[in-house]
Amino acid sequence: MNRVPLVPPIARAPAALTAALSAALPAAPAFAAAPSTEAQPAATPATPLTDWELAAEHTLFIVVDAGIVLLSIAFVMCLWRVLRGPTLADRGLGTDTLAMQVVGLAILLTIRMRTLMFFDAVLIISILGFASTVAFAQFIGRRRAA
Amino acid sequence: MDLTGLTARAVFDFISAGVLVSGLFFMVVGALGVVRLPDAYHRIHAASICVTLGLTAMLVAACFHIQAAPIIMKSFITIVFIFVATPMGSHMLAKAAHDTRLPQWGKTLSDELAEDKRLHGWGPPLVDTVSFDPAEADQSAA
Repeated sequence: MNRVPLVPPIARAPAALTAALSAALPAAPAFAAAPSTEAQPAATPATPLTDWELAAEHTLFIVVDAGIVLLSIAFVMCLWRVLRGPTLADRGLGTDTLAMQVVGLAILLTIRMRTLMFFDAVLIISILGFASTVAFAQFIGRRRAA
Repeated sequence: MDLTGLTARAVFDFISAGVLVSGLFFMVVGALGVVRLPDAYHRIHAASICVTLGLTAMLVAACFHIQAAPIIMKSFITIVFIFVATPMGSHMLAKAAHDTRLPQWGKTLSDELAEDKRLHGWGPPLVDTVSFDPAEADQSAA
């Protein structure tokens, strides 16, 4: 799998700011590169990308960027339901949906930042969301109706 | 149309974008249902169904984009887990809410679980039917 670093994943700070910071701060010690056990995308491409591949990747990245915005909106909506929810069951299902949207954001960040680091969180957050839902259901069942 | 550069990678990225759009649609519709539906039972329905489909579609899109074995294996495990766990969790939540006599929406047509509970005396005892008598507790302690 050869991935080309077309665009740096995070927007760069302005050049003046980085220059001022590097002049003001002492130089950071150089860390030795830790040996990676995870399969990282190769830094150098074997062949240059064709036009169709560039177009496909740009389409995917536009969809991913729009998806991050949409999932943030959905996150705020579910948070509103958790805060306002008239009964305990509403709060429980709101937290369940929040966990699932965090999983979705982890998937989108995996695609966007070209790293496999976030993908380990997917299974763990979904398991934790299920466990919290079950615990919440047990808690509601032992309680009087709100 | 010039299809010379249309490699497998480009096709897979286009498929991934399409599947991702459908997954995002389901996620946003689920969140909209969680906010807008009138009743806790309706909201549980919206949350579980839409989140299950949306998350599955997004995992499949990640598999199409990053064609690596660990990602595909983790996605498969996560999809199987979600398809088992999310309906079970929402079912437990709805049953617990029904056991505590959470009122339904006024326009809901029937409540068959309540009829079954009334007919067969089925279901866990409610907490608020158990009365606590301090004198009795003192006797048992002594």
